[in-house]
Formats: sequence, structure tokens, C-alpha cells
Amino acid sequence: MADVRERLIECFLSVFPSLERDAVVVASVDATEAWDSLANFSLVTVIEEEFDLQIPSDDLEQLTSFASVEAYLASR
Amino acid sequence: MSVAPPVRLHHVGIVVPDMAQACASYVGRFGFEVLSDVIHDPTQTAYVQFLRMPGDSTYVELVAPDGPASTLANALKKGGGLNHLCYVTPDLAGSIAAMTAEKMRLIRPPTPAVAFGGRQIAWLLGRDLALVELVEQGPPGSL
Repeated sequence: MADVRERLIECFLSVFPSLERDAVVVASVDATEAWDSLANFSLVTVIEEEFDLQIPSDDLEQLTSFASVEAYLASR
Repeated sequence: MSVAPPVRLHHVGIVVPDMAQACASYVGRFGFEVLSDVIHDPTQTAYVQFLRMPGDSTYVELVAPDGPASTLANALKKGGGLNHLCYVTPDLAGSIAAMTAEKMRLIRPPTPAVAFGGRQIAWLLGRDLALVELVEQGPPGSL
């Protein structure tokens, strides 16, 4: 699980390089200015690559924070 | 297996903070010709203008956000510059099907674009995070 979290943090940092590592775990659409729609698609694409999975477009609207993405991955 | 429709590069999209200043720079520095007025596309939340080198077939599209709420605002905050490649296709639905089959994600479905006289455009994102625009082929002489 810790490994998943570290890999997920790296995914976030690759899309949001201006975030401090400590700030990644509390990142959210509302709190992260750079998290726009394109960044969201980029993040999903990076996560799909990292975790070798496909995330259906219908699931994207629930991925609005680091915590929600982490929970989503745990459910897959 | 269906054959992907042939596409060709239509333009390179470059995000700029100031359309007039950027246009003057491209014309003066590189010899581009201005091929369109500045066009406001509310759907894209952007101002756009097309330039082209004499004798070339591929355009440069200068793109500027139309306000702080523009979908391009963050791109400009990151410094602007190269933003997307646009391909023209004779079969928009066929190209979308072919590209999504290659694991590209459709991020904005077909919608009419003011800059292309109402011809449809669509946006996709590749696994390399390269932003791709598709535009329906227009009649000869059209942008």
C-alpha cells in the first residue's frame, strides 16, 4: 500500500511539478490551482501508465483529490 | 479491421499572452504571412489567429486566453508556448475511432469551431500527454 502511495505521489508530481511533495497528499481540484480539466486528463493518463490499467471516462468525475484517487486505486 | 482515415498536419498551436505582439514577432522575425483576422471562439474560450510561411501548407495558430476563466489560462501561467498539434481529417468520426483504439483519450467531443466556419473539431490526449486537435477537412481554399 505504501508503494502504491509513493507511486501515486510520483504521478502527481509529474503532472503538478510545482507542488511540494508534502502537499501532494492533500491536493484536490478545489485547492490546487493547476488542476484544470487538461491536468485531470493528464493525471489519469499518467496513472493508467503507472498502474497498467484503464480508467473509464465515467469514473473521472469522482477523481477530484489525491485521497479519492488513492481510494479509487484501492478499489480496483 | 478498419483503416484509419488519412490525416495531415494542419497547424501547430502556440499559446501566447499578447496576440498582436506575438503576431508582429512571427511576421517580423520569421517572415510569416497573416492568414486570418483575430477570431474569438467562445467555445474554446480563446482568441486565435492563423499564420503561415509563404509556400507552406501548415499553419501556426496563435492562441490567447479570452479571460481568466479560459481553459487556456493555466497553459499561459505555465509559460505558454507549444500547446497542441492539429490534424485535418476527411472523416472526423473515423479518425477519432482510430485514435481512441490506439489508447488516445477523447477529452472533448466534436463541436463546431468558429475559426473553421463551423466545421467540427475534437480534442484528444495521447499517452505521451501530447494534446491533439482534429478538424474536419474543408473545401479547397478554406482555412
